[in-house]
Amino acid sequence: MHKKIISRRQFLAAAGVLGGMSLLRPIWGLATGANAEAAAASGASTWVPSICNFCSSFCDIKVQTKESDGVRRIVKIDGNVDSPLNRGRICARGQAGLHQTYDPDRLKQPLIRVAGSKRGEWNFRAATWDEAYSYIVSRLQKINPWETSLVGGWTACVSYMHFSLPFCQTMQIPNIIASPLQHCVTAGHLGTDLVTGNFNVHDEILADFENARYILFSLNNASVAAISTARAVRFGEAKKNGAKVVCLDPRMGELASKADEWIPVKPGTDHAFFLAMLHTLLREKLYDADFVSKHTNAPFLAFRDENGSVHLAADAGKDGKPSNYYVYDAIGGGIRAVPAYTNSNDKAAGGARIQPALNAPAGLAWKGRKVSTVFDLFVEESEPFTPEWAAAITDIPASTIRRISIEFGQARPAMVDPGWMGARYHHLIGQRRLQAIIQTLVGGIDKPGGWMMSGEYHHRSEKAWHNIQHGVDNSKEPPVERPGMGFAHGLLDIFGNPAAWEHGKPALSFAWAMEQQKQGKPSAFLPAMADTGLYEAVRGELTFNGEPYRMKALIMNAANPIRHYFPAKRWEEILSSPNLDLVVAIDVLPSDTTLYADVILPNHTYLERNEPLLYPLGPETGIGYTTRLRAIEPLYDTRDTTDMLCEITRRMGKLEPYLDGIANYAGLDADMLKREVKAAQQAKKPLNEAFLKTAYVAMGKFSGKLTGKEMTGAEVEATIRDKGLLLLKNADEVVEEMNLPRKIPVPTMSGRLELFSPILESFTAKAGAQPIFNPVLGYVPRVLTEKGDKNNLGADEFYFTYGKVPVVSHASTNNNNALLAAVTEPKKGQFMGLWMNATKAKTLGLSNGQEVEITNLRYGPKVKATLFTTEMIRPDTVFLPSAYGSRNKKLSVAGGKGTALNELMPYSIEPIAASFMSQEFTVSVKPVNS
Amino acid sequence: MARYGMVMDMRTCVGCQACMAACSTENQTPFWSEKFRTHVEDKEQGVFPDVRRVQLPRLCMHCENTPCLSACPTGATHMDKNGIVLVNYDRCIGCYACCIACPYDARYAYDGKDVDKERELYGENVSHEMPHVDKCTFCVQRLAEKLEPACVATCPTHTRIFGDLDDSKSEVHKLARSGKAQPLNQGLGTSPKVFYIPS
Amino acid sequence: MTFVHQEVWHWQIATYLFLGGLGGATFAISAIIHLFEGCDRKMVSVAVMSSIAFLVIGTVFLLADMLQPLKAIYALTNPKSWIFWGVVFINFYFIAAITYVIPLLEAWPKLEPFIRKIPEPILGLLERFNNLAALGGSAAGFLVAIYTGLLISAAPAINFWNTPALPLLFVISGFSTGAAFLLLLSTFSDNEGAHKIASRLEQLDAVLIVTELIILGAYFNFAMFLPTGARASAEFLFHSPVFIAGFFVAGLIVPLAIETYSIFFRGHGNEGRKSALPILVASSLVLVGGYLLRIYVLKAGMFQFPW
Ligand SMILES: Nc1nc2c(c(=O)[nH]1)N[C@H]1C(S)=C(S)[C@@H](COP(=O)(O)OP(=O)(O)OC[C@H]3O[C@@H](n4cnc5c(=O)[nH]c(N)nc54)[C@H](O)[C@@H]3O)O[C@H]1N2
Ligand SMILES: Nc1nc2c(c(=O)[nH]1)N[C@H]1C(S)=C(S)[C@@H](COP(=O)(O)OP(=O)(O)OC[C@H]3O[C@@H](n4cnc5c(=O)[nH]c(N)nc54)[C@H](O)[C@@H]3O)O[C@H]1N2
Ligand code: SF4
Ligand code: SF4
Ligand code: SF4
Ligand code: SF4
Ligand code: SF4
Ligand SMILES: [Mo]
Repeated sequence: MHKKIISRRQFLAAAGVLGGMSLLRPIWGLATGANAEAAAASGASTWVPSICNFCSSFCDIKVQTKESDGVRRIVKIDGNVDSPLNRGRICARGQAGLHQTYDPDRLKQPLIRVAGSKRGEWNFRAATWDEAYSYIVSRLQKINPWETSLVGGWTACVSYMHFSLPFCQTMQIPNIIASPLQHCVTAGHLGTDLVTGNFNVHDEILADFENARYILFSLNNASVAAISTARAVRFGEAKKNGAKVVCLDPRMGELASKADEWIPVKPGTDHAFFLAMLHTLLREKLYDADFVSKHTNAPFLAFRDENGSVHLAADAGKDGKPSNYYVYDAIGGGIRAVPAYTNSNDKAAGGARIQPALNAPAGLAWKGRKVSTVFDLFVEESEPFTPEWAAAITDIPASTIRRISIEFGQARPAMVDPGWMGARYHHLIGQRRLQAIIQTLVGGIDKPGGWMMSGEYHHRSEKAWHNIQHGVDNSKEPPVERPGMGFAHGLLDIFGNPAAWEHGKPALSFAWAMEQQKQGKPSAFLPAMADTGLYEAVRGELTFNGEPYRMKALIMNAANPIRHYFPAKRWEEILSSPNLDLVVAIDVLPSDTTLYADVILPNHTYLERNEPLLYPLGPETGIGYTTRLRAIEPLYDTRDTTDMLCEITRRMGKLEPYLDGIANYAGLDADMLKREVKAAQQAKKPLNEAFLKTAYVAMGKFSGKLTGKEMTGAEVEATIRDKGLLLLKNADEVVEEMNLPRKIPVPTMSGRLELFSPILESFTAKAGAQPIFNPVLGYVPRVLTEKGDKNNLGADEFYFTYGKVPVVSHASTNNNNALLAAVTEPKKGQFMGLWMNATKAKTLGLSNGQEVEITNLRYGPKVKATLFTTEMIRPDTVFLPSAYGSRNKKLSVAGGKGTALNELMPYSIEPIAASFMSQEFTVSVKPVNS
Repeated sequence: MARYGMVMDMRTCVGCQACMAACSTENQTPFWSEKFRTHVEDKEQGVFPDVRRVQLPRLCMHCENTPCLSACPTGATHMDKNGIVLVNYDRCIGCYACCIACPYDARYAYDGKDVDKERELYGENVSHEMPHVDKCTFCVQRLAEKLEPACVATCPTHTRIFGDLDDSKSEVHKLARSGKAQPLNQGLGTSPKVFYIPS
Repeated sequence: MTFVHQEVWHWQIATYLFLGGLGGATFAISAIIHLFEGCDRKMVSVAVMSSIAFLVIGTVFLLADMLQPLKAIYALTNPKSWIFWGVVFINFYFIAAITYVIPLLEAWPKLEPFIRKIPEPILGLLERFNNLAALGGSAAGFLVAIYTGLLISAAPAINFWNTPALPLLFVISGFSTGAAFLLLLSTFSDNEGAHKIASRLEQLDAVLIVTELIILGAYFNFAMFLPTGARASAEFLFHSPVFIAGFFVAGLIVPLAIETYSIFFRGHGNEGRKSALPILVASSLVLVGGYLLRIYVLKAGMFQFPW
């Protein structure tokens, strides 16, 4: 067999067609490419597995190529039918993806800004890679390492985490600013993570819609139906299975349009709705008492201190963390200690079977303090949050709130979707936390019809649990290998910790936070990968421990801060600053941000590159791995990001330690990696192949550990080429064997699902009691003005909302995709216009299609938009699709089209994670030129 | 021999336009002129808060009783043995009689400019070598490879269900048979082979 | 339910429909006049030659609107299609018209040499069967005229078109324009008989216009009956000033008035020459009106889609 293939290849080489096929050559030179080659030779079509790159849903795809006249072209992309994640389906963006690669506007070679020109105007000259690297390195050598920051979009975050973090550590650069955090996941996810402990690259939870009987959505649209394909496929099945769907949204987006009940909640008030829901569930006793008492910290005993702050009854261990918690045993009728970190409360510290009570008997005392259970505290603190109370805030009738709560509580399995993007209101963390608490109360965690944790998260949690049981210190693992909050802590230990760096400077976001705290000014507890302090550091205004902390170089990869960071003006100022000695932009298209670069490094598009590693299947519950394989030879003089990072470190004399770092983070064999890298360098081949080859071997070993079936690197590659992915354990097995928390602890402080939040408790300890830090329950109203909430609006004043539409991503360049622009055209109103209630518009004398000016009444900025009048939105609210307004004329389709959301945005952050509070203002809408 | 048909489950269509994008690349249809073989209507009904938003995906209904075929003087429009209504590009003179006759807006002109642009985008190996009137083919080229039509294969919410209406085991047969799914504009007597489950 | 203006056929096709109706009717009326009133060879030959020209030009517009006009011959494949019959009718028409007109051309001395080139036996045959050709030609002309209406009435979802009233309307309007055209021609003729014929034509046209008005009334009455695409189309037309003023008033009412006046108040039959001007005006208006009717009926065509 083997021999035959070789002879065929020799024959083909003789026929002179090898050139076009070399990209289909498997790294291991095994028989796996045979079909592809035969097909290539005959001009028939070939399918190459890959991963979609237009949103972090990370769908598995197969790319079809065809050869004609010696040129191999991509002709079609389909979902990979073997993918348990997206099940063979992809959205319009995924379908249209090939037009990114063939976009005539692409960045085709390195560009260097012409000396003397200004950032912001397009004035570049073509350069060689060597020139570009020399330019970058010569500037990096002149500045201190902490004066550099990486800026990454989700692509960089998801696919290059294992390269960025060691790059930072090797180069002693303590700064990463990542767009998927402050604008997106931190606020929402932190909320759910406080309960579930999840915190991951893909900590979005893949809710099991199709097995649910009742699904409640709040502040969702693009995350499910508009669209994240992995969720949309499950949502479609749920509808077919007859699940009842209730959707809270001030306007009828794609998801709300499929709901059985659309609840046009007043923007920014969902928190009150969920508090009332919790109130009702607790009073109607609609919860899974057995699950709650066994696997959550609800039965833990707690007390109020002198200041009224709540603390858990616990013994302090050696490391300052609790060594025991206490519960009231309903069988034995006494207070019993339970282990500090485990998954279940059914055994006391000594091993005796107990049944922890959810309600403590009256007058119970522990160490002289009056204690009750966490559950009791929830009942007590939820008392004022009646449906009537919420009705006045949310504009939803009390009877509706009560009915939905009861329907939800009685339906099993019932699910409240975890939500995804959260950077909108001060209460978002609290709201998402409540959603997780409600989901926990009905027992719907890691269970069909409920929240399913990802395979990667299961596996890491299990590994951490195994380590703990065998006395291995988890903090020795690289942060990316640690599960959930452990990962978060790992990152904090690096970026928030001056001692982690040779130069003693933490990330500037933390430096800023520490200085603010010292000065008693508003700060943030966890500004992880946030932009806090950046503006000041660039202007030379930030000091840390009395020394200036400046920012002089920004290296941006797959990031477009001019369009997707808030607000645009701030970034225009930052990037135009003469204090910046170096601005590098790595991109595939001339985004608005590349306008401001000194050096533009063109990346291969996702269809032209192998990725350097294997990646878990996004939020899929099964444990599986996949990667991108190159479908066609790169069209232009472009490179892989890994090559760029390695070349920069090599020129800085740090390639070896960098490779060691990557090997450590990614679990690769460092020696093999170095060998392969050397070989690739000598052969002048992309380094990605060297990484990937090493990753195949590591995966083969990992497979042995996980399933008992070790594979060779070649076998791993063969499977991936054939199926597009390597599935090691399917979702059913994972949930059965590693159930969180039924089999293993979740990576929270206590291993249980945490209704009471020790993390919020620690914030209260530092910042004083405030509803936003309340570790039990606290109502946080929206902050629409300096004074807080606002309910009396002027005649042309509106609440402002925004969101994504199905055909484009973020503020990405993919609205330059001509096919996406074409499928947008019939729905230009819905997809690009400013939504306003039609009846209301009439009273203002405004009509559909009219140009209007939107003014941010709190902060001042104005933008123009085209009006879309509709009955599908509340009269007091306007809605703006969020992905448009590119300004770079080099984007021939997208440039100048639509409204730039971030030109209306303020710089406004909340005090926990510095997430953007991007809807906390009101706007007026007037005809243009009035 | 089959009698291919489609069922649209309007309970699940979210109007994501994936079908349009999929069809467009699969069949190299002229998106640059905003012409498509399939469309998704997005309609609102009612007054706030009693509003409905209806998404209705549509394509050629592959009418059993076929007005476009009757109108076509050249025989370019024909029905293949599997009941798929097709246009023979080579024979089509582009008189548009079929476009006027089609009650479902399923046809458009692939004109000379479109053919040029197609070459520019897709190279020499193109699907439409000459101007003609174009319409949905149920992706016959995919069916030949045992693949579902492109729009069906990609539809994230499984709104589009494809199969042989004569095959009693198929989902489309069952849905059409049960009356749960009904064709559009039945009064015209065109006997469409595309059925809709109302939302 | 949505109503969408058809965007398929535009003024080119309207021109074709107009010229088809005009050409067909001109020939048919000429031939009938020939049969019943005797033949002013010069005028009839001019009329027939013009009608052939109308059809040629109309056909050119039709072909120019096609994607692949060079393959037009394929159109003779499917007899279920009206276009198939259109091609048949038009060819039948061309044959009849040419057969018919050749002998008449002898009236033009300048054309003598060309006609002489045709072999004698054939010319003889043509002369002998000239009446038969006239008969066939009038049938062909009628078919061509009615075909223009049948073509567009075969649109199940354009219910303004999808009615037998439309072919009828197009035939009557076609014949009215044909009569108007001949009337126009007659004003240029110095032949005595022409004036007699002109009066006839004037009467015919007036009758046709009245008939057209009755059909229009019925047509719009039907269209307005149900809230369908037909009603939307009718409403569109009511709101089109050019249609109302140009077609209805200027193209129908005014010529009818002029003709009626002329018929009743400006003497009868042989009383001598009438002033040419009113005839000129009336017939030109009828022609313009006929063209506007085609353009507006096409514009008003609205698909009624079920979504
Ligand atoms: N205005 C606005 N801002 C937003 C959002 C929004 O909807 N509107 N959404 C927010 C959310 S939820 C998130 S997660 C973030 C996401 O923000 P990002 O993760 O930054 O996502 P994108 O805007 O899609 O892409 C950023 C850049 O990556 C480039 N790019 C695409 N493919 C490649 C590639 O293969 N290689 C390289 N090197 N670059 C590539 C694009 O051209 C673009 O310039 O944005 C947030 N900010
Ligand atoms: N098409 C597309 N899909 C995507 C992405 C993309 O870029 N494009 N990106 C992916 C990523 S990274 C993310 S983070 C997710 C984001 O997906 P989601 O988190 O679902 O975010 P959006 O769709 O932007 O906004 C959700 C809805 O919230 C509504 N809304 C606004 N304010 C309020 C409020 O106060 N209360 C309630 N109840 N509703 C409100 C808006 O009307 C909107 O319909 O999408 C993912 N899917
Ligand atoms: S949801 Fe769409 S854009 Fe996002 S990864 Fe999947 S196919 Fe790509
Ligand atoms: S792909 Fe499916 S869900 Fe999306 S618009 Fe088309 S039919 Fe609807
Ligand atoms: S929908 Fe239109 S194009 Fe399709 S078969 Fe019916 S009449 Fe013909
Ligand atoms: S345009 Fe083509 S397919 Fe349509 S009727 Fe004419 S010849 Fe037939
Ligand atoms: S079946 Fe094929 S040709 Fe028809 S609309 Fe779907 S993708 Fe397009
Ligand atoms: Mo996001």
